[in-house]
Amino acid sequence: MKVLVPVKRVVDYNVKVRVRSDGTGVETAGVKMSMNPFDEIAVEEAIRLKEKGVVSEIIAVSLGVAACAETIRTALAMGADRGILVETDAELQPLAVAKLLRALAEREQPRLMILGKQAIDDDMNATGQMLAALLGWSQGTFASKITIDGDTATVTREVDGGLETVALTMPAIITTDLRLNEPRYASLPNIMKARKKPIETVRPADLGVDPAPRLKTLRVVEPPKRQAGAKVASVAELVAKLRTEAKVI
Amino acid sequence: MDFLLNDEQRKLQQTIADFARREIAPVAESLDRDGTFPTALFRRVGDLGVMALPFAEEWGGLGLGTFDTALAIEEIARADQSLAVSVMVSIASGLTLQRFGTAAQKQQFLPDIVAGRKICAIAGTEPDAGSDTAGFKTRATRTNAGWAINGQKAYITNGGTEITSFALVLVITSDRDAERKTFSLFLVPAGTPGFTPGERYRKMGWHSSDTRPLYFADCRLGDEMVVGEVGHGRHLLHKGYQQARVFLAASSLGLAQACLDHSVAYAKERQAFGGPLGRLQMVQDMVARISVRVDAARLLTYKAAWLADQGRATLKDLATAKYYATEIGSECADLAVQVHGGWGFMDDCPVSRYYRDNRICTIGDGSSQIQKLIIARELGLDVRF
Ligand SMILES: Cc1cc2nc3c(=O)[nH]c(=O)nc-3n(C[C@H](O)[C@H](O)[C@H](O)COP(=O)(O)OP(=O)(O)OC[C@H]3O[C@@H](n4cnc5c(N)ncnc54)[C@H](O)[C@@H]3O)c2cc1C
Repeated sequence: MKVLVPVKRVVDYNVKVRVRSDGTGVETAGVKMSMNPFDEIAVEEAIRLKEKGVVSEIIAVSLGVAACAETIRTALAMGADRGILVETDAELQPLAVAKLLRALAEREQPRLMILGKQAIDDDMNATGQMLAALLGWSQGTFASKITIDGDTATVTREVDGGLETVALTMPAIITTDLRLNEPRYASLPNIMKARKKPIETVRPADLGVDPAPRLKTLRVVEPPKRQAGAKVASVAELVAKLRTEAKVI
Repeated sequence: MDFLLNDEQRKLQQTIADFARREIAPVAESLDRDGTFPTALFRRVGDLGVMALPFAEEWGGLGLGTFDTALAIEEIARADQSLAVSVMVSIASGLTLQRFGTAAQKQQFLPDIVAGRKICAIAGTEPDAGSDTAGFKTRATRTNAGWAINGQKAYITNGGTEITSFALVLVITSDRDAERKTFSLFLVPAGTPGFTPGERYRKMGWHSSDTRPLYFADCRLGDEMVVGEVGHGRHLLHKGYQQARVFLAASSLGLAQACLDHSVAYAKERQAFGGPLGRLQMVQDMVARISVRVDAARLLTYKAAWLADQGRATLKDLATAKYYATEIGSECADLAVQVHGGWGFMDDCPVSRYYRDNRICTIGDGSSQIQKLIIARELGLDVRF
């Protein structure tokens, strides 16, 4: 069984992001970029399925600027078999990504696609769902456990009230939650071997997709600075303030 | 001239930096407190492939060079110099065996070292002589079947961990009445009868690195345990240590970088006189001084490592990097403690650990005095040791 795993290049989770002075987005120049952590979990899950003998080939896909090839290399070093880079300098929004992935799915015919539930840069939480709708495939989002048996993927989902288990008929789209697994480190020997694994580059036009943005960002601003705290003299005063000022009780 | 790392080197550096930040840095303080060698963590460093970097593929290595290895050691030291030193001693001792050992010795002992399943040591220093290697007394005498070693070594890194595989031990093999003392290097497997690692020392720093005396009492070894030629041991040890100099420089460089990381963060965060510490010019001065030293040490260390890979490193290049990087490691740690104020004096503050850890770096592996003598000699001065 073939699995396709999209991996997004995002600002590293350790970086304190700064809003660009013109308010059009966050500063990415000279900032450390890494694979979206939820996508790392997706790659790890695909590798574990391969180690169990359920999966035969893992294709890592990244969409965006040429440097996204580095993110694909990371996936290859972890254990993916080959990569596809959909290269474009255009801004990519979830709908465009979903359309591009649909085109790739039609070409590659995977039985399963595992995506991060969201990317930590724009927190959209949309691509997996849009892709499932476009393809007409089943979907299991926010997965914290995946088992595959024949043509059925059983997915435990983390929902507000607890855990929900769904059975999906494949082909299917699964999006990962944080507790699904703990991704491995790519070892240095595997990083070196990954250099020899193939990465194919295609452009959106090759896939017949117009990636032009459909959403317009009006303004990006810094979150408000945290206010200084205040000391209270007694529990009574605390309760009063929680009631009258904070209005939480 | 190109000062940029290539893609592969950046990836290697980033992988180790990520591992060090996530897995080593958070436990470094407790390792310092407990003072036991972290076998499980060391094995994970091995699983990552760090121990394999400079070894030949034949032994499971990655066939990379001194430079890539120095990059890795720097990143580990940035999280915990004590662990970096356990790593670098095993790599340097293993490389000495790879270079001078017999095929059988390598076959038996190298794969475990390269995979990081086991660790190894190199033992020169004795209680009565360190810098003055000619003053060593431990001796191997001829027996019917080979050799018997008697004597004692002091301050030996990786000497007695639960995964210590062997020590390369420098001993006198010339006769007692010989005109000139000559030395040989022996591979002494852990557990050989007559070879006993002593109790761990209590130390100022490097708490979780295993340092012990090694005792030899009629320790019997066959000829097949001689590394290189009989009588050439001192030469082999010096050659082996030369590469270790770049690695120790990298260990201090990583620690100095960590001093900078912590000082900048603290200067931004700590409030004093109505604003962050970092607004005060005298604090800015300390941070800038750390930064300049780190940059200069990095240039010297990388240059020496790069030259070593080209086969062009002179004794002066290696001594210069070792001397400078280890000295500024201590200067940077001292400045970083000052930036941190009273908190910097507390044992569980990272920079306090750096201050203690780096202190040995200007002493071990050829002290700063010895490095300067080498530099002066290479410059053509009449140097006598
Ligand atoms: C934690 C730790 C780990 C160690 N690990 C190892 C190890 O794994 N293997 C190993 O073999 N050794 C190891 N050592 C020993 C270390 O290499 C020696 O301590 C070092 O070489 C100095 O030798 P010494 O202690 O005998 O000092 P000495 O040689 O007695 O030197 C004392 C002082 O005199 C100075 N001095 C000596 N000779 C001269 C000279 N000719 N001119 C000017 N000044 C001079 C020195 O610089 C020093 O300041 C370790 C030591 C420590 C503390």
